[in-house]
Amino acid sequence: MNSMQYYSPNTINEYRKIYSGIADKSILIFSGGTDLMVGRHELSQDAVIIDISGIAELKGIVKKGDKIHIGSCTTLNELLCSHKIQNDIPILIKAIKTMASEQIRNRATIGGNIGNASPAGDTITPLVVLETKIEIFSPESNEVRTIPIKTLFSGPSATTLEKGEIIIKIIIPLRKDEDIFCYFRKIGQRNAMTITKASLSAIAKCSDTKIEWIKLASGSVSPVVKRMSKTEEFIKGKKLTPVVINEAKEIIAKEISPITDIRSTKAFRVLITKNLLKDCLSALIKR
Amino acid sequence: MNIDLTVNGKPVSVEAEPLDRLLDILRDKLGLTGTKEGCGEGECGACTVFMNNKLVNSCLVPAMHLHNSNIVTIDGMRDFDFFKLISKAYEENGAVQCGFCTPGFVMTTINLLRNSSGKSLGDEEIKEAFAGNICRCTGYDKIIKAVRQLLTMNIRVPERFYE
Repeated sequence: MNSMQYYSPNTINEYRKIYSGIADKSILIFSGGTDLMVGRHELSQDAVIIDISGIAELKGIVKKGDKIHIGSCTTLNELLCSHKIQNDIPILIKAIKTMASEQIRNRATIGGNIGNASPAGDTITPLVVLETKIEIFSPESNEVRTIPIKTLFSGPSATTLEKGEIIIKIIIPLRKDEDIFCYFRKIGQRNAMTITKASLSAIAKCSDTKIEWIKLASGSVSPVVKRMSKTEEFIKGKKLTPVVINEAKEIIAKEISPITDIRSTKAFRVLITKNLLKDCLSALIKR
Repeated sequence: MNIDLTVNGKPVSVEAEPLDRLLDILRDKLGLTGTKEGCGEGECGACTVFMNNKLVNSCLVPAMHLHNSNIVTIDGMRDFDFFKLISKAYEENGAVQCGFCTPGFVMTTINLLRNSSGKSLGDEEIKEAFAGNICRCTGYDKIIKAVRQLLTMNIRVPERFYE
């Protein structure tokens, strides 16, 4: 491997300065590297690496009012061990527990999982139902913009980030006053170290026997992770009878657009998405 | 780039490219061949080492992240008392077959013993801890048996190694 040019800024401001010196070149933003290292031989030798993992401002978990702010370079294991996340965002813990291994969770970052923009990214479906916002820094304008996470993705492995823009913060609103049901389940080839064939994240609020509201997001069954809004709308205000559950399964099947690929088939993905919804709603009834 | 780091308690200095793998630095530059390359993609765990006291896949750690880091490999574990107990339990339970995955499994065992002191773990929790280690002789039952035995022995593993 030839010598690649490499920078490791310690602050966002240093990042901006480095970027302005090399803005004409192809840039590779590097953090935990658990994906990039696997494909390192395919990386362009002309690319300049900017390793943002040493930027202290991009690390840590802070509660600010009714929101949790997570630095984009926070590792998955730091999130898993955080009492704030355990207490306030249990759905994220459920998802991260199923991700990769201890070894990888010690390196992989939440910003990397989001920025990779994989439809199978397992932090993404919980963050989408939680109506998370993403803070993005632009070195060109030297400004920070905040967008809803669902508008970050433009296709599989594609984002709406402009050149040089980096994800700096993940902002999750808290719903501490309510008794919220949360659900995350993914189906893969095996239980350990598996990439999602299909997954479902849900949060919901019930009153008596009815569903007051439910927010659903399916993973790995559309070009981008998105809310299952027609299914949500259908379930809202209803009592979960077997008839309602069956109808909801048919609606979610029409909302997704899975493909057949190396990991699964279209038909299987439709089937397990329907079954995941049934599993989720059954858990909601038992509650 | 020149990198100064500590490996198994000894300060070393190596010349490497930013994206060179820690695994290759350990094996080719430092001759520490106890750490194995299985898949090279972070799936199998044969290359598992401790970096700053945290379990990592050395095939996924780039040289540019190593400056001032503290790396401990399987070769650096031999002199610790807990290692002898782990080695004995693996032997007694037949947990080693071809042996290629063993260095990685032992590193994860050390991490589990360190993190679970005083807790009693179920088989599911033990299996979850080994999510990142693959044994292709499929000797999992015997490995789990050895680990279960070790967990009952109240073994003291320090929070930090060589610090």
